[in-house]
Amino acid sequence: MLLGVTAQATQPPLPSFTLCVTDAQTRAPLVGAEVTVPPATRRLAASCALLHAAAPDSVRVTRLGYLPRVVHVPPTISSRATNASDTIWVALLATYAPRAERLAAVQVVAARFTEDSVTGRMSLASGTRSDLQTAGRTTATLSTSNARTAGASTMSGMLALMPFTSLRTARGETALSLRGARREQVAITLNGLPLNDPATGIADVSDLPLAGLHSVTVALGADPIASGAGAAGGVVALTTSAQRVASLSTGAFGQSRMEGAWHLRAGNTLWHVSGARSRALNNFDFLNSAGAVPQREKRINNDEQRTTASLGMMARRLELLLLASHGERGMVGPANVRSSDADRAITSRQLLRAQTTVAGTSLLSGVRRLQLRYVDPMRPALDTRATAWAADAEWRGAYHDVAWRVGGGTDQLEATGSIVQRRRRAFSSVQRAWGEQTHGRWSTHMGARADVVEGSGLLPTATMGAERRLTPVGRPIELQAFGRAAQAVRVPTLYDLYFSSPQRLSVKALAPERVTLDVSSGLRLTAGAAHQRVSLEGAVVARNTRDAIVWFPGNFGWSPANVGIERLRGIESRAELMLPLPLHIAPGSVQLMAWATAYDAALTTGGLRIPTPYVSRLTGGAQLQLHRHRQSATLMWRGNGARPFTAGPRNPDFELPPVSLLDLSIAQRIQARPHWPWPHTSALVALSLENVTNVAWQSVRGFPSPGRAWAISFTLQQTPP
Amino acid sequence: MISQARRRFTTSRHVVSSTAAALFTALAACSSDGISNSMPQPPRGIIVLDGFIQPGLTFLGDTGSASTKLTLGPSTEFDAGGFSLLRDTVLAVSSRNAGDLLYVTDVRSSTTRRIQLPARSNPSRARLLTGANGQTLIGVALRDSSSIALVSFAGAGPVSISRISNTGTCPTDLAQFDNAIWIVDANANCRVNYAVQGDVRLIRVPNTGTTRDTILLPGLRGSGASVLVNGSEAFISAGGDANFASFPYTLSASGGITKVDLRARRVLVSKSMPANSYGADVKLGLDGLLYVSLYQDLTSFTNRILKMRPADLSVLPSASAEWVTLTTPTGAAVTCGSGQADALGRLHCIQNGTGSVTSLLVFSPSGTEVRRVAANQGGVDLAIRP
Repeated sequence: MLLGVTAQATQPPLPSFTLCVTDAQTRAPLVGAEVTVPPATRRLAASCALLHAAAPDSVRVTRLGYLPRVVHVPPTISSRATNASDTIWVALLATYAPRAERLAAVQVVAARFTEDSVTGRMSLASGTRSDLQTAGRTTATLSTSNARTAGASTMSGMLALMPFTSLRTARGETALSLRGARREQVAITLNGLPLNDPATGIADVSDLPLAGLHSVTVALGADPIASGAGAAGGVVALTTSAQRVASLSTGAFGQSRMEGAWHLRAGNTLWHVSGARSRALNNFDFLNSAGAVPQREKRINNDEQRTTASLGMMARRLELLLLASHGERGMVGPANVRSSDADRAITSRQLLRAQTTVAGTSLLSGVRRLQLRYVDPMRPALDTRATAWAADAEWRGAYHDVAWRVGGGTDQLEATGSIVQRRRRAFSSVQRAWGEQTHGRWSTHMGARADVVEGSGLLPTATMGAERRLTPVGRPIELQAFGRAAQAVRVPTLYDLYFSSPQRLSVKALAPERVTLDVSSGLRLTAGAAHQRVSLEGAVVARNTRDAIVWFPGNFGWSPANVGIERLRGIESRAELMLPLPLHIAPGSVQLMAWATAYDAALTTGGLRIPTPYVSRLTGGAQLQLHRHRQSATLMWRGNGARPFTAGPRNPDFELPPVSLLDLSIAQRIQARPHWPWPHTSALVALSLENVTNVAWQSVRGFPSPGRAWAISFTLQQTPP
Repeated sequence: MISQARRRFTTSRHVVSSTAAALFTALAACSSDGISNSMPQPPRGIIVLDGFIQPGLTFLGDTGSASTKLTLGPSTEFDAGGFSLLRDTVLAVSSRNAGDLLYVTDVRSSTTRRIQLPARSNPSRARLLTGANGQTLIGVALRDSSSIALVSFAGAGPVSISRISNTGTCPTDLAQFDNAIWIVDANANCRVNYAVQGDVRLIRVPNTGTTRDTILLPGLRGSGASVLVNGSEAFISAGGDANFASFPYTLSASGGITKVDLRARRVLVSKSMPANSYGADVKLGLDGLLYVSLYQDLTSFTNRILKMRPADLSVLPSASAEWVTLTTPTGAAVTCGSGQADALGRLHCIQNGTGSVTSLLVFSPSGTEVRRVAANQGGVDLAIRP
């Protein structure tokens, strides 16, 4: 557990300070913590809140699923009047986390945050500053509030802001790759509940509204302990929040979106709801070069509309989240294909998650239903419907220094054609962490997990990681070395299982795909203070995957098979710089974040070396943000090298060309005046220009992406008093 | 894209040219020895169509392991499962799911021309016809338009497309004979799900006049029917009728071949494929025999090849089964598809292994493997250049 305290009072005296709560292991912001500043107790609706208290000695923070923590407020804060710039960071340790994490994680940092902290916004830099992560792991966190300021108004837009991500979208859906992995090798979770479809292995989160979300955390590398089967390339962890926000946006190609969220307290229970409705025509012009002669056309049957709603409840011993969404979109074909001009896809999703505590342990359960209907008005006989169910239950706790988890679940698929697939699964895991108490130089962890999946047998995996601080504690420059090794397993999806048997030359059951080793090692350098800092991080990574499950055309049809060994070798790097603007220009700051990856990912089978489709050798991105008082401007660049789009050997004829995209957004925050009817309300107006240079490019081969586009959004947000 | 393949092919063309020169010299030497030129000759080369993953044509010689590839297009623009080769012109088409395109490849120059066919017409097969005034004339069966497209052009000049309409429920192939176009109507619901509606029909559309003849082909069923013309005889084949909408797949009728006398416009003989089998891809071997590739059943989808006499469609049985028995030099059984024999009676076929890696296999007339060479990936069809 980490306690960070800042005590630099420079503003007019106010008996208040900001308290921010995060997860000690993942660094994800935590919403809904219960804070006791004697004599009052309140539940926080955001991860950060402004607290008013006269000379508090201590603050008690607790939350469902976490160990309670009493934080002694340093005299620098408690002995004098302070203001919101003084922030106490409290990292809570999950009930299932190894107790030793606390020893390794305690650190005091200078942390003066701007007013944004009050609204729960966390910059990328602040997210990476802490060493509260599971040892040896590269992560990045972005809050939805910060994403809005950077011009994002959709989930896809927010994910595009994240470093190390590689997005693909063809018909409105969003698929994500991390660390050169295939999209089904990335686990996406919502408050810890996996969202990946058991039928396809892919999680499309483009229907989730920002209004109901608090943050997105990207963690690279295999994650067998926390995320279990499927997380071979990495994890994208989404967290929900209780906000009071309303947002309207409109943009090019018929885009419109409205969303909102509200929360209220009833007793000590926090209720929160959110809803969103969005539409887009996506009828942009494109150059159809797939026909005999290139010609300009307009994309048709590319529209989409989505409706999403959520209801949540946080109480002392129970936490519930219900989420439902319904979406319909045109299934536009590849550029020259007109035969699907009338086809539609209708997706609906329901999700229920519950969590409670029993005797210091946590019980979690969840159930998900995902239905996809494909409608072909011209050929109704081809209409299909597939409904996938997944149910999970888990018990978490810790015994002395060993954290444990046991759980089980079931997956089911029913689809047109009398297809019925069922599978049960169970798992157990243990994890232990060690930290050096005296100087905090070492932080290590080890864990093991065993999954039992019906039809796939026993699947053991293990992980270990370590970080070592190479500079003494308290020095302005901090240098850390880190390393991590992990394994992962991905069982065949229900579609894999169905299509593998009937259509193979020789009927052979699919074996689970196994990441035998995913290793990373690197250095992390941080220097400076909150408003003037620099951080550099670089790592070399390698991953070997045995029995990779890849779909190839067989003699009769496409079918998946365990083929060969998939190897990835690469470099991941990130640099961040934050500087104050010169005062003679304006008070504010400038932030620069840049990242780059170089991967060589290829499958070796049958004498061929086949690069992993859609993984480019070089990928990078950069964000330049200027914050001046209530204005901010963001310039984002994202570049991809040539990307192979087939499961064949490297061949320039079958590669998408390199692409370089530039987005620009400006935002103006308007703070309510004290005499206004809603003094705690702020407004944000953001204007964004995407693909400013109007580059014609394709995210997925055959599916053109829009050129230059614009969007403007207006967001009202109530600041927690 | 094509130019890069062309460059690669140009490099190998020098090799091919050198080989051809050597062969010519050898032939001249043979001729001087008084040996007849009518002796069976090895093929000039083998062409494999890579239909999936990285669609294109792979060119191989009669010997050696070298190959060159001509890219045709990504799978969103090319999905042909077969091609035709005539007068060094390769024709292949993309269906409605890949943009309704016709690909015309000149094997000698290794150049491809892509021609847009009517949208949503769902082309099936293309055949090189005899054009007038130096024009290239190509007929394309348009399944969803119930019509035949007649595509004509000269060199790199503009393309003109005319249509023969009302050519059955689902025209899938055509041939030119005796001042008429002969159209194979698969009689299937190709617009929706390719469900077989009835027996295959052969429709004669004369070049002049309006009288059409329809020849019923009893018992011949399949949505992928095709025709092969040899002299005045046509061999119409269809793969059978099966339901793939749910598993396990069910077979209603196996494939078959019907021989038709085009002059007399009557059925001569019909032959059903072995029980439980599916498919009937017929090629005329350069040895004068018919080679039929099919799947042994709908469970294992094991490739099998039958060898038949054109005269009476009788199968030349091997020692153990109706289909040709193929073995490695060590005696292990081998299976492959898209079989065709060269003039020396050597069976050529393709085999897709793990990762759809394609191999060209060549067997001696006795069925023993004599050559195995890599042929890129996703192979779906093969033709021998005589």
